[in-house]
Amino acid sequence: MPDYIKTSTKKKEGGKPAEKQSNGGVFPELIKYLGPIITIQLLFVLAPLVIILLFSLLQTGAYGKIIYAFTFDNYMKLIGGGYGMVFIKSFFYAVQTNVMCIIVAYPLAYYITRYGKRWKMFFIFMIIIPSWTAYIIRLYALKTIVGSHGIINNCLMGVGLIDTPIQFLYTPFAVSVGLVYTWLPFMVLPLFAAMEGLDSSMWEAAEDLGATPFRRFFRITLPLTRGGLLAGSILVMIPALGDWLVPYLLGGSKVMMAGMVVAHKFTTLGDIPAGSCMATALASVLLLILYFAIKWGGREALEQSL
Amino acid sequence: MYSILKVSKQKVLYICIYLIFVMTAFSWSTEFKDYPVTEDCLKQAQKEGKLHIYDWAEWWPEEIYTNFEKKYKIKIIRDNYASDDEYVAKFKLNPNSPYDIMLPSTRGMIQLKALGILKELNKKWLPNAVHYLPEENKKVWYDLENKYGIPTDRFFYGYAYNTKYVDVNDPRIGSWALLYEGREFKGRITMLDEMFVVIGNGLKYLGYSYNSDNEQELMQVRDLLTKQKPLVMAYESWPKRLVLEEEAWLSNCWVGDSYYYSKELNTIRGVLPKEGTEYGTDPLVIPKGAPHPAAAHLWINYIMSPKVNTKLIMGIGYSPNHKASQEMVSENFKKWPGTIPSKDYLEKCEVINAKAMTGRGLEVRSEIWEELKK
Repeated sequence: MPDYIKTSTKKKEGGKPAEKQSNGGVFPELIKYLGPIITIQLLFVLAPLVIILLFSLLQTGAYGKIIYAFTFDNYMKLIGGGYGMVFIKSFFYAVQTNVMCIIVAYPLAYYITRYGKRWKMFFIFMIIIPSWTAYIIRLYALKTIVGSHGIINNCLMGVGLIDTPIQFLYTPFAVSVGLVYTWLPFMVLPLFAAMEGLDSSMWEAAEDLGATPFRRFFRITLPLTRGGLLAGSILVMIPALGDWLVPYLLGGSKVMMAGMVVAHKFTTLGDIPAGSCMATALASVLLLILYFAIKWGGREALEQSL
Repeated sequence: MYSILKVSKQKVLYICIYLIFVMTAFSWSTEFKDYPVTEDCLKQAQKEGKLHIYDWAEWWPEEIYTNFEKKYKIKIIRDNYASDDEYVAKFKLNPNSPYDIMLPSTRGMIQLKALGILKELNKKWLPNAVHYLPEENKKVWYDLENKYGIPTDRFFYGYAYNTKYVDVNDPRIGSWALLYEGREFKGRITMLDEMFVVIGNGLKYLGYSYNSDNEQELMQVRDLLTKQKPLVMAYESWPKRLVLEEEAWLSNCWVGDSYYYSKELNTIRGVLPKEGTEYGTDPLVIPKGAPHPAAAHLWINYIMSPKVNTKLIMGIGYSPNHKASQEMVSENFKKWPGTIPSKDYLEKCEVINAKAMTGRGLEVRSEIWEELKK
């Protein structure tokens, strides 16, 4: 990669000047600047996680009564309980969703940035707007569109292409489509941001130097949007892995994804410790994915996703 | 001759008037009386002035709540839940949650009672319940003599079918067989997304107890369900839309719901399977942390008054659990399967119990359910 590209994409290092300048000790300064954010993080991020972790180490009595006694039983059961398939299946769905989102979102973001001109913001806006309505409502809307008496089937039948409605709802395919539909905006936005940051003169330069479109894409566009790609993947894959509403509503609840097993433990069995244990395991897997994504994608990925 | 005739005419008139009086008097005596609560309860309730209700969203007719507010000048503050597990989890974490009235289902009530958060009811403040609760209610294992809960209705699981697609003369109608093994209706069957119900009724179909914790019997159900899964369109607890849009032809549901489906689509019929099913009630209970106990008793007594209970039952379509409303509901509704089941049929039904809900019974059920959904 040429040097000028590197410097152009490098973000300004923020640093911590406040700490260095202060002569009354680092701590009061930190409290002054970071106090509010630390409080929020502690209260709403760390505390719930710690509570879940603690619950996962408790015992359950008859009728789901929580017994306040320490045990590792839940984790032992989790390891020996044959949940491997559930995790693999969820992971498969999440990766599939991610790949599909990239396939759909990449050209979309590319065309919006390159050819959107003054309509650019409008297009982005149109992508964001559906996410303003609740997730569950969008899924129900999707249900009415693709159901056997839905708009698509009615149109196809009206035109005479098919005689009987295509059974689309409650199939694994519907689950995949639902997942892609729900999480697509989260892939488009970081990609769009990454591409906006690209200097269009680079394409021109590459063209002048005689690069083919193919080469241009792989040597310039793709490497420079890697951060956006990874950021989008983090934003899509993590929620998709824990999703349980899509398989429940569009999959007819015939397949349990990892998130649904957690819900099953919490609700039907009323076993809060076992559910917490599953949730902790799921969260650890997600953290691991996040760790590798950041390691491979570098700071760019993290910055893009924030 | 004429005079005699005249006299007799007069006499006839008198007799008629007399008869009318007698008949009205008689009919008054058969009309079911609303027993009011005692003075002290009413006074205390009005002093409390408020009632915190925690119940299902959009189930009971709104009118019932507004009429109560108007009649007693007590303000109702409602909070809703969408599943049994929601309130059980809440009380598990805070046993003294400040609610006056709750409406759990059988399973929720068993859990709440086991958690020890229910308050014992004061029967002196519930004259309507004392008069109108059927005798068999007092023998239910989890609440002997109705100490903690007053059941407002009964429910039975069954299924609905659409006569357009399912032959009315099919010999399997009336049995679980059609639902669990209706091979020709592949992809047109919905099952409830409820572990206990689907497994329990499978056990009933195979001729075992709903609450069995015998592993061999449960394994047979597992085989039945894995064979059934390819036929199932969806595990759906609210299959209304699927039934009415004729996407699903056979639908596992509460029999009471099928009555309402049939009102919107007249080819829908309900079935109360002959092998028996789960029988449960929706009781009103008062949690221990209730800040307004008198108002809560007043509310229960109001719900159990014959007219209000009838209105409620007609509004929700479930089986009446009330000596008066069993008579007072419409004739049409009485004929629907599962509204007023015979004594013999009730013998075949079972109430869920500890064998299914705890220990090995629960573990195996959960394993089956998780495996089924893999």
